[in-house]
Amino acid sequence: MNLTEGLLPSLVGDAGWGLAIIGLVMAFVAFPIVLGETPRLFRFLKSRRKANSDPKPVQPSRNAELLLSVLARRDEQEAIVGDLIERYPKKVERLGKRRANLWVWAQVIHSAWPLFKRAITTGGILAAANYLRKLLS
Amino acid sequence: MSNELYIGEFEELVLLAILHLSPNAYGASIQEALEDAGRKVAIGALYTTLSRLEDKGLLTSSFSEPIEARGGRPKKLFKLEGEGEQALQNANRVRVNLTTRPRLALEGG
Repeated sequence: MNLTEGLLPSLVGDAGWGLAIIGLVMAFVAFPIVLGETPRLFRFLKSRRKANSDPKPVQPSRNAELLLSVLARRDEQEAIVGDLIERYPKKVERLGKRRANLWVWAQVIHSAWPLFKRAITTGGILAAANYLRKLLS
Repeated sequence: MSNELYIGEFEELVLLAILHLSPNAYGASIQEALEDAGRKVAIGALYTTLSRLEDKGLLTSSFSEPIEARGGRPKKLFKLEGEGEQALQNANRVRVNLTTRPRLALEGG
């Protein structure tokens, strides 16, 4: 008898599908619960629910934030980036997303020279070298 | 020559903005106030001016608690000191002197 055509399907049959489903449930739900983890399936559904209920926050480009924080003095990094994050949604509302993004990058570009100049004048050549090293790393 | 402290034009505008916004004067609010008044400035340039004024002793700063709307980042709040107010008065006095002098000269003429 040909196994693939006759014996195996008849042995597996409906019970086989049932066992397969039970196996999947055990693997993705029951075992993780026994092991004290949140099942991946639950995590996925929860994240989907959260994604549907919370609209994506309007935030400026991460690269712009990063560049601005690299340019800023250490004690001011958080405050400057926070200011940018705070003003961005208002700019999006008033100008639209594309022009708001342009505004963000204009802020970064126009901030670069004053911040760099301050680093040189207040800390000397060593500070400027450290500053450039931080910028390039 | 007197040892009175004089400030630049942009520094004066920043001090005035802080005076009006007090006690909620921080980077974004100062930048917005200046923009509303018709003076655009990049946030980095504003912070360099603020730190210069702080070094001169005209301002003091403190950090707020982290704020959710700012991505969990704090505000750097600025407060005008007595010397800052004095510097504003000096700047105003000089301006008034300069703007009224030609007229006086003409009137006395």
